[in-house]
Amino acid sequence: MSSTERSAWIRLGSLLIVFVPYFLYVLRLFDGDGPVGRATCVAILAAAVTHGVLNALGQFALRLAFGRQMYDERDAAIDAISLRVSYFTLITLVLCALSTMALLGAITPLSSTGTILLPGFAVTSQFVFLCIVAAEALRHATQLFCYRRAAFA
Amino acid sequence: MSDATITNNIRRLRFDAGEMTQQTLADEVGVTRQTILAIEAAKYAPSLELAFRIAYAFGQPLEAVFQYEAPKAKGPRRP
Repeated sequence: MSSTERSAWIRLGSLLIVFVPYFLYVLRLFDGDGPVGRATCVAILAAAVTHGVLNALGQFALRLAFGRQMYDERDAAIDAISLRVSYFTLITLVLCALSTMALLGAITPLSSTGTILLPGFAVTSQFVFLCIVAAEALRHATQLFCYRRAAFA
Repeated sequence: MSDATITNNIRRLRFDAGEMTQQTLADEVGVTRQTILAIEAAKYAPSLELAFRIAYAFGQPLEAVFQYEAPKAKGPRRP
């Protein structure tokens, strides 16, 4: 296993370790009746910092254990493929999420005041954030797939 | 990926060069051992520059190291 592959494992691992619990927590917050704004802000900050620290520690340990990473043309080719996959996924997911929420808003019965209830800014932003994290996770997964199994030119 | 295949004789050439290891070849041409492994297994087609570097490392012309097989259905190009 090359150092760049190990690095991709660390990035995928730290992403999943931090953001799966984060989204579960946010889902519970939105399910409850309390205010979500402040709690969501604290959670997103904590998740971002934890992810950064975990990733940095992992990369540092990798550097200590295996020395300087060599990056060659195959790594660059794999990066290009995974970036293409992740951006396509990101755009598709964001468009699907936004159109689904718009549709949900359109088919939701009118409220007692006669206005259409659309998902709020907090929900929409979390959906978009989820799409970004999913695309990033898929990017690392694609990298690992290419390193492990794929034959490509 | 296209239908055409690029095969190579790197394994045999390493054997002929006194069982040169993949790591030695990788160091000589400036890539990782995993890249040499992928090229040998025909899972990765190297760039033209890397192909020339590998051929140069063995002291062979490019066509002695890499072979190109065109897709069968189309046949050879006519002038």
